[in-house]
Amino acid sequence: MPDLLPTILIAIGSAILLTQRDMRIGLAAFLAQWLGIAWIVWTSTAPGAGIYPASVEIATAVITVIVMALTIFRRRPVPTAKKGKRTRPEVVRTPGVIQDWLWLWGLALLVGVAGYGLARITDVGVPENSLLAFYWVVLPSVLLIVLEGSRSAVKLGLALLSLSNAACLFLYLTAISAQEASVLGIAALSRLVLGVLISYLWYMLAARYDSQDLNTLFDRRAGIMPANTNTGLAIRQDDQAAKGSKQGAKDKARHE
Amino acid sequence: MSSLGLQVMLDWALYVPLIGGLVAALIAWARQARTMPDKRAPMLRLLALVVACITVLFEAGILSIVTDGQSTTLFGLTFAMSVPARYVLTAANVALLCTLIYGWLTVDEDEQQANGDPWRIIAVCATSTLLAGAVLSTDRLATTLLLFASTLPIAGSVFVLTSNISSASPDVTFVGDEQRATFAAGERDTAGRLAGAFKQLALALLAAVLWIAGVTLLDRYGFNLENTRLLQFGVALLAVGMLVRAGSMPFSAPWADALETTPPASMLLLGAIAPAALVAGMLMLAPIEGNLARGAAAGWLGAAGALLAGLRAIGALRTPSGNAPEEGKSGKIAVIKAMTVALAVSWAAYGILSGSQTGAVGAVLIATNIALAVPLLVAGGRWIALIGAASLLGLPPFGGFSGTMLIAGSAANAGGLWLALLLLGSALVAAAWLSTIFKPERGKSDVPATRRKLASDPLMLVAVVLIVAQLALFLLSNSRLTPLLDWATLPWLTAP
Repeated sequence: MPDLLPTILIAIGSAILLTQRDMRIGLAAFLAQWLGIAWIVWTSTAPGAGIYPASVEIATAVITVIVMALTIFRRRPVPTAKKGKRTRPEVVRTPGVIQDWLWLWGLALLVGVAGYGLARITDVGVPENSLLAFYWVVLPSVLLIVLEGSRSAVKLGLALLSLSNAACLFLYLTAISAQEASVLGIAALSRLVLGVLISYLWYMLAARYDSQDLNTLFDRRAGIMPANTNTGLAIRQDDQAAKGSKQGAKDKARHE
Repeated sequence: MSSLGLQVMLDWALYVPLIGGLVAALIAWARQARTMPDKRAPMLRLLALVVACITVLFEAGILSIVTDGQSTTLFGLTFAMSVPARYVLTAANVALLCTLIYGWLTVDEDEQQANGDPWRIIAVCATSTLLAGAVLSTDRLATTLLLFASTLPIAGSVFVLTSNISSASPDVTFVGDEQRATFAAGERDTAGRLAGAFKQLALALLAAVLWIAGVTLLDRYGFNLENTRLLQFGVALLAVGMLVRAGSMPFSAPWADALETTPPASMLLLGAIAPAALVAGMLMLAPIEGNLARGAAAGWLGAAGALLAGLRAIGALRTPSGNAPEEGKSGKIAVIKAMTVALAVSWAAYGILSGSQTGAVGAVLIATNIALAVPLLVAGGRWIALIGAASLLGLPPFGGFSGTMLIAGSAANAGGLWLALLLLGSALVAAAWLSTIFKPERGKSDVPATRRKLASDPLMLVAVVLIVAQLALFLLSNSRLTPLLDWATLPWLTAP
């Protein structure tokens, strides 16, 4: 069963991508998933698969992930420590970690079972194992868009790219003939450019809002400004005094 | 002209915008060089615009000359000319031309955004090439991928232009309410640009995924002729993919963001890509046997989209309840404009999916009209925008009338329910527009002051030309019908 190892790699990549919140681990999982796709395309005997499309996939995966990694792993300015004091990373206790962990891994398991079931009942004249790999890429990416699509720009970007990879995998495994080199080229180039644009968006979000949380972006779109003005804005003290407590109430209302 | 000559022209139609766009962008970059004397900079900016405009016009000219059925092969892919492709690509190039001129006029020479000229030019010219490739390609996969790729330069240019806008200056230490409000408005605008561009990318990707899956299933059906479910599922994926890509409701919700914050980009998205996606979708469905695929059953998707567009347009007028933030006037107008285009897209989608010849011909006419009416809607002042809206609503004496009538006839033949939904959607959007006419907010305009100042005579000239084109479309609709009716004898179109 030559598809077994790449399918396992895809499953591990998808599960980690879905369950882990750390963006670096997410990117590594995404790379593993993409390499699994390339591997399965390499080993598959379908007319649209083979060494050539697999090589294109590997090259696209490596370049895209390097561009994304350059954005994610870039150096952030570290606040300078006062003399005689050492800055320690702040340990944040997040409540309900176990529930969160159970919920995400439970969903991953559920998606895996759903993918297995769908691969068995889908009749498009393609081997079941090939469809299993496809479903194990497409279902986690759709779920990731639903779960994190309105929160994390990193997870949303990775999920979108993963979805496009799933479409390409489906194409390779179910096509009735080998694709033209130009079609493969456009598909690879489009995903590469998409990856670059997503990385650029991450960079812009980090530079403008110091966060890759999409909630910040949507808040600004709705006209909600941060209560603590870390944007360099300040109110003159005498103006503040003249206005009394009105401004504070306005700020509070706007923030709410 | 010989067949070989026409083939070479078709080749050039695909190459020229890309080459000309790069040359124009290089000129625009040269303008930004530090060593460039101040006197020459405006001239170079004008030269870049002229080169880009000539490029786009050249492509439109070539496409209108090449005869139907003429084909060429590039990089292993076949590109063939057809009547709807010629109509929609010529009109889309007019929209692209308007984008170039509007972008140039609404950004001041001294403004920081003028540094984004090269990116704007590259976005327009690359879109021109990619759309031509998508609509002319006979390979469905290539069409899908090229249409998806056409969104990338637009989103890229929006990201780059947004990065040129400076965020709050840390030097500002003493500000009052006015500055705070200005800053908040600027931040809202920037966030709208980023969010709008990202949403467009996501929707384009979703449509591409649906189309890739649909195309693959249709190809497999050729080897499993007894499995008609494969065919029907493939057609359903193509139909939904077309609605997502063209922007029928609810997939046109991000348009309002683009219309409010980046009018040039919205002109590209709504005026060029949406009509091209409609025609590309129809050409993909054309060779499929309509009776077997039961494609006409998907017609309701278009009618439902029209109704949703009407409801959204009316919804933009109501006062929000609770803590929901109220949209500004420009936000409301942007929503109504977006829904007007979405309504026209839904009518056209119904025409294509209904599987009738008159419906398909009407859809091509509406798609052509969308490309010519959107620049009026986006760039025009209050009354010019109203003319654009009237045209998109299918009112006489404008270009959308003939297409709307044909689709209404097709819907009436299929049963009154779908026609009622389509008309209800149109009535709701028209009501939204009427309320903006009778409730004007004095002293405010949906066009920002700087744009009003700069967008003076040349833009008015463009608007006048487009209005004349609208009237010409209305008067010459009969002459355009004959070649389209000859073309519309396709397996997909099973009803008259």
